[in-house]
Amino acid sequence: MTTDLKKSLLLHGAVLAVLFASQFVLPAYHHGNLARVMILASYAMGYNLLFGYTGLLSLGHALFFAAGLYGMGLAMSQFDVGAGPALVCGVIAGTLVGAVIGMLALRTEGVAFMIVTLMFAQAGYLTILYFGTYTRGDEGFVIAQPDRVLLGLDLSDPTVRFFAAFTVFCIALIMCLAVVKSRFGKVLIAIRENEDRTQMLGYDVTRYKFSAVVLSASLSALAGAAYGILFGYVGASFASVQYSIFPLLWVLLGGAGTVLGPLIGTLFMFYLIDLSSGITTAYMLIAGVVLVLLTVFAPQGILGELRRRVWKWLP
Amino acid sequence: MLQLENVSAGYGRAQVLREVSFAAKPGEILCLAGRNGAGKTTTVQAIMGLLPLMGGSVTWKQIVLSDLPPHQVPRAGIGYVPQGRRLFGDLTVGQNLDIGRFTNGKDLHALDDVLELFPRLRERYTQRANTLSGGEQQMLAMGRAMCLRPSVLLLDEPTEGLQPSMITAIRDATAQMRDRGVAVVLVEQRLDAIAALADQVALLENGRLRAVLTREEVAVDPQKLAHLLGV
Repeated sequence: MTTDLKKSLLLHGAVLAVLFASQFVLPAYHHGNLARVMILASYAMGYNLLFGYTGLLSLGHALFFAAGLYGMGLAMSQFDVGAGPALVCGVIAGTLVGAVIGMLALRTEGVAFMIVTLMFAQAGYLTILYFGTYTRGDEGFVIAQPDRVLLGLDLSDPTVRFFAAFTVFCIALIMCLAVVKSRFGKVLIAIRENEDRTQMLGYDVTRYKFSAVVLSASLSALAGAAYGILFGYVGASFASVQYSIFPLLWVLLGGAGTVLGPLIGTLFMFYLIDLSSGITTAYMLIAGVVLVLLTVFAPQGILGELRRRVWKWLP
Repeated sequence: MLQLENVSAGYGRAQVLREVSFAAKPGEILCLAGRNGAGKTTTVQAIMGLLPLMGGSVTWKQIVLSDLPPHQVPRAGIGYVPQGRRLFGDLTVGQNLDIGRFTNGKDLHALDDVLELFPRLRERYTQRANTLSGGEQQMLAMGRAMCLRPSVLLLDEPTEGLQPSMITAIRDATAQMRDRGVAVVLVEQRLDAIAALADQVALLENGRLRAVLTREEVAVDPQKLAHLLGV
């Protein structure tokens, strides 16, 4: 094992240990917030696989998150399946949607790819509103507490919910680390750097990009399904354009192309809005100023800058 | 044998190469020579499948390379070091070599061989490619292609703009590849390099093959090549 790999495993292990231990010391309010942040960070990690590592900027990732959310929610509400199978349904739904969108959207590139993914996400959002009979449209629907039980554990219980969110985050983190350190991940990074050169070296770039879209969609869908089941709500707002922009912001803030960047970015943004909204009603103005400052002074994001200046081994 | 038969190619509707035919043999260096704009780079790009052929065919060991999608050509054993190196500038030397090596996943010793041939790359292993000197970048571009363990190596003006010591290192590496039985196609304009390395010289002029000279013909009458090249 190389020194860089050891350092990297040590850092990520330490972050997981801190997250796990925080449940014993945090007050109830922040305890709940952190569970939410871990799920949203898992979503951002899925996004980061596509944007940060493959260089494909999607503006329609809310569709994958919502596919997981609704795949899980509708399986429970319409077919009375249990929490476990519903979670699997959510991930399968997101994966299938990712495969279809990947096949169509990857016929384009650059700005066209952004527009196409945005359009698909908007179509998905409108579809959710259109089929209001099943989805309850804009209002969404609640997953009743008795249904939120997995392996005998009540997922509405704050401690169990935190542990479940932590498990999902661990899965996302380990998956991202494994991908980034693998041959597949290194080819994705090469594609991000230069597609033509990667193809010239013997790689089927389209196949790799398609795999990245599907993988990213699966992880986003897992986060969506987990969010719905842990917080008991399935709503159309999660399919809106806002939820496509959020992961982009979180990843940019934390550091695109770093495994822990999405967690840092999500945590930072979540508490920036939370704290500034307690000070003024113009909290988005404060958030905006901070974002501009960060973009100017740390254009590669928090961890991106840290990697550039100090931790060159950071994956 | 790498065989080009009546290859015509170009960019869009603009035809550059017209019915070019030659063969590069294993264990030999074939120099592609000609003035600027003669079609040398177009020829190697056509071999790599980076330009669609307008006519003719490129074959290697009964494989019709011109029928393959571009990403399959390197997997058939064709290594390519393009003009201007085209490295992954923000990636380290190690990462650049990895990308070259992974195409040939089964061979675990390819990287060791490259680092043995270019010890400088071992010293610079964790350094970003765009921070290397021109000569080191060229070594990396060659090393990346050699990680593939190619049977055919296409080198497009590998010594262009390099200092003399680096030119010697690159030429030595090229000769070593030939000695290992690789068929080398070297795009070159320097007469001294052609005289030192070439087993055959294919001379291009305005997209057509004007002459193919052997090493002996070049040695007997160096002025003939100079005359044909117009220098």
